[in-house]
Parts: sequence; structure tokens; C-alpha cells
Amino acid sequence: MDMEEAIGLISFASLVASVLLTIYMRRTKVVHVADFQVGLRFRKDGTCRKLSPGSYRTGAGLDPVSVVDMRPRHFLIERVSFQDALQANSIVSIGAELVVCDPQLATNSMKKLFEDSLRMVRESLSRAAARQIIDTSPEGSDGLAKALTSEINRSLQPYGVAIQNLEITELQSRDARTQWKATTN
Amino acid sequence: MGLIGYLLFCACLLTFALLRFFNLAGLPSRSVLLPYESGVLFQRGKPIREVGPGRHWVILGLQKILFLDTRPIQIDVDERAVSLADGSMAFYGIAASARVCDARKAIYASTNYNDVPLFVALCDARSILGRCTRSELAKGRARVEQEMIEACQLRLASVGFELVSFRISELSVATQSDIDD
Repeated sequence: MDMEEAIGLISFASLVASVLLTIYMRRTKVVHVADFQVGLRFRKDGTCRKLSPGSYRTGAGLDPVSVVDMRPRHFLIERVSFQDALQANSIVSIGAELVVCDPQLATNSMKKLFEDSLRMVRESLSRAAARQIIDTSPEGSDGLAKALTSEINRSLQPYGVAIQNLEITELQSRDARTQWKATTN
Repeated sequence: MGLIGYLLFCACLLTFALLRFFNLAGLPSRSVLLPYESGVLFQRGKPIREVGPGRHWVILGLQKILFLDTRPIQIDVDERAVSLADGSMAFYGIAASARVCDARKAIYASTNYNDVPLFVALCDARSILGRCTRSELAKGRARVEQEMIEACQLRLASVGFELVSFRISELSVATQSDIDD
């Protein structure tokens, strides 16, 4: 092979590489995974690989990448009525943060992560609160917050999500109402 | 010289193709942040530095700017009910505004940073009102409002926000007959 043939070969290889690269770049897109997110690359065999923060390509011919946000999502649930363990009519309002614990499980089990989780939290809240004896003192509220967090998280565990920093923003039981009626009468 | 130049050109082209293929480098691109925007430059998913309004160069495929709107977020809620400490019920409304002052903190605080001021304002307002009695509210509405402002300021500052304004737009306590009705 003489010099002229070698140059021709290199030129051809470069041209082919450039054309292939252009096609590849046009058919794929970059997915950024920030450090507060987790990327999931779903393989053809049904398995899934977690991607650490960085940039990844996805698109035609490549395994799809799904990005799950691990930051907390704040929510409020106001004025849930229930009867506590002593059958006292009570009302509770909470504020809390929803977080994803297992991104793969959460992605596979829920279509709308936040909305579906919130529905489950609401259902679990009234069930869990009904099993408690309501004490409206600050210590009672703290204890109730811990108990509710634990109970709600138990029901959310199969879906890969959890709640944290739950705070009771309102707590009323029949006792307080009766007391108020007595004082105003 | 012509031959060497040509070979170098081809080598550069091949190197660039390989770098692009393995996502190691990209083309620089210009990103413009408006005067009311603030952002954080991420490289390979890690925050590098905060960026303010103006033009910034980012390397496509490697870097990304996450930007936030620093204009005040308005909070306007009314006719909310909360039980007071003595069992009576208060109806309240809040008009407030808060803005992002620390973009990095605000980005990490929540999935949607726009929700944070409303969440904080409502949580604090409800908790503070819930600790008051009817007579306390009747006597010192200004004191309750001040307590809410201090609580909100402290909590918002910890997540990169600044409370711009806050006022109780509505506050009334239900009588016993109202509740019975």
C-alpha cells in the first residue's frame, strides 16, 4: 500500500465515521441525570440498571432511560375526620414530604407517582389515625406524628415511596369541643 | 505540509467522533438567563457553580443549567378552617409572597420549588392558629401575625427562600351556633 492509498483509506474512514456519527446523534438524545435524581436504564431482557449522575444517550436502538426525582415533594392533607380508638370524633390535618426510596419499584408500580402516592397516604392516614388514642397536647401530637409516619410508611413500602418530616398542623378531638361548649354555655 | 495537515485534520475528525460517541465532549452552546432568573450549572450531574442573569457557555451533552425564576411567588389562600386550642373553629386567609434567594438550596428543597412557600405558610399558619384560643385571637391578631411571619421567615430561609410579604387577609372565629348548623 503506497502513501496515496493510505491517505484515501483514512479519508474514507473519516467520512464514514462522520456520517455514522451524524446519524447516531440525530437518532438519539442526551439524558442528564443530576445528583438529586436516579436514572434507570431498562434493558431488553427486562432487567434494569441504576445510573449514577451524569449524561447518557437514549433513543432509537438504545435501551430507554427513565429519570426519577429523589427530592422531597411537599403536600398537605387537611381536616381528615375519623373516630379514634376510644370512638371520639376527631379531626387531623398534616403536612409532610413524600420521597422515593426505591426508584425502580416506584417506577414499576405507579403510573403517576405523586398523585397515586397521595391517594394512598390519604387512605392510610384515616385508617392509622383511627387506631390511635388522640391526645391534643404537644407531646400527644409528637407521638401521633411518629405513629402516623410509621403506619403510613408501612403501607407505602411495597410501592417504593415513603413520607418524612410529618407534622400535625391541626388536631381536634371531641373532648376539646365538649370543653369549649361547656365554657361558652 | 499539505499531507501532514490533511492527516491531522482526519485524526481530529476521528478523535472528535470517538469522543462524541462515548459522550466525553460536546459542542459549546450559549445559554441565556433572563434578569429575573438564577441557576446552577451542573456538569455530569454534579453542581459546579451558581450562575446569574446573562450569557453562559455550556458544553452540550456534558453540562446543563437548571434555572429558577426569582420573581416573587404569590400565595393567596382564603376561607380555610382550622380548629383552635379551645375546640372552636377559625376561618382564615393568607396573602403572602416569597422569592428564591439561594438557587442551589431551592433546587434541592423540593421537586417543585414553587410549592414550597405555600406549604410553609400554610403549615406554620395552621400550627400557630391551632395553639391559640378564641380569646387570644380576639385580643392579639397582630401578635399572631408576627409569630407567623417569624416562623415562615426562618423556615423559608433554610430552603433558600426569602419572605417578601405576609399578612392575614381574613380571620374570624365561628360561634357555637355556626358549628351546630
